[in-house]
Amino acid sequence: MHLWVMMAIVVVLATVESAVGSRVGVPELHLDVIPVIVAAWGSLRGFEEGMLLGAVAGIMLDVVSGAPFGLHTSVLVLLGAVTSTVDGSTVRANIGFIISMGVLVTVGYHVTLMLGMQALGWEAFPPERFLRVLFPAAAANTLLLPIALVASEHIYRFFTGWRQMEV
Amino acid sequence: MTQRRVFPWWMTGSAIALMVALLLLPEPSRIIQSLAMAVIEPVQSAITGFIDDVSDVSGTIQHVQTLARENRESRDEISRLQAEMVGLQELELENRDLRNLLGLKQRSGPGELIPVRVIGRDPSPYVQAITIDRGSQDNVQNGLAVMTWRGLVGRVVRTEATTAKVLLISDVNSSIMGRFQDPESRATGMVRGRPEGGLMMQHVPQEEVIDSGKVVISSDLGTLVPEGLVIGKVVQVRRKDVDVFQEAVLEPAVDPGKLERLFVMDSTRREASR
Repeated sequence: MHLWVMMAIVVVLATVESAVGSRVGVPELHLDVIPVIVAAWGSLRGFEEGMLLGAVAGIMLDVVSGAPFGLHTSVLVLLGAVTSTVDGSTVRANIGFIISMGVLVTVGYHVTLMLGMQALGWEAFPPERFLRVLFPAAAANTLLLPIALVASEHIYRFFTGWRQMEV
Repeated sequence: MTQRRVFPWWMTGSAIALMVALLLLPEPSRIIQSLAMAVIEPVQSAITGFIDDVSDVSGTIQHVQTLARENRESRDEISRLQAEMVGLQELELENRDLRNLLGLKQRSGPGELIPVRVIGRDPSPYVQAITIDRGSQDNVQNGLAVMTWRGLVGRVVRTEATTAKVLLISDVNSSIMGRFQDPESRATGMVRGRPEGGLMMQHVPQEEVIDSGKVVISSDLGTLVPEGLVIGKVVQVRRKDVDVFQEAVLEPAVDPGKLERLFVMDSTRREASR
């Protein structure tokens, strides 16, 4: 049930982002909401659920994007799988881990996306332009990651009947 | 029983004498009148003043109420007129755009213009693409040009039944053949998007003289993009004597961030009618 809810959230967010994302926010600042959510869920829920959520999120991004269809799906499935090797609860407890994970998720996502576009015959951004997109995105995603982790954990707990043990 | 007199006889006589005096002698009557008025006038003035004041207050109250009602009605009318003015301004803009579009249609020749609306943008920072609300059901096909009256916006790259993806000319992967709007020059070049924004016209022969401000239009070379659509104007020229070609940086005619009143040019119908 919790996975279905996360999928629905990702579908809604991707739709809203494509419809209004360009009209709100700072033009030079790119926020990777969907990849951060996939990374957070993968780190909390493991390999299978991370990949499944990545697949649904990737399909949604492919639908709303003009990039080659299947690119975002491939990248986000990979992201969900890789982040499942990190323990989300450990990350939340340590600010250093949060920053590291935020930066690595951003770099991994954008580099993989760019390499995938090149492999499919699309032209890549020049390095200086790529870095101008990457650095602000890494900072923003690092701030977004703890929120995504906490929200994901609360959603999981709510739909699984998790209860805090009182001693 | 003896009937008593109400008025004594001397009083009656005095009254009659007074009447005769007043009627026949002007001076006494004048004196009496003056004396009487001297006494009555202040009282009269006071009463009249009081009544006037009361009338003024009530009149003022009524006038204030009237003014308040008129003020309210005027404000309502102003609001209505302001709203109407906004609507008229919109109509004026639409009229101007439609006139320009009519001119565009006349210049670009027969071909159906399909009005479309932007319903989404690509969330990726590396792809400049939009989603429009018309698809294959509305005769939108891959390769068709999307434009406003100002100029070319992009090309359809993917169609579904009711929507289509349009790759903007500002995307780095977009390439449109263009030429200068100069009757003395037929030089062409490939117009591509730049990552930092704007357009770049590449592969322009070195011998071509490119001046800043020159307009670049689409060149009909075997594509579905009609000829003559404005792409942009030259803002900078980059050339090296050792190179075979030179480049020109263009400012797009249409701001990719402000896309309104888009149309898909169904040039397949134009091709069929030739």
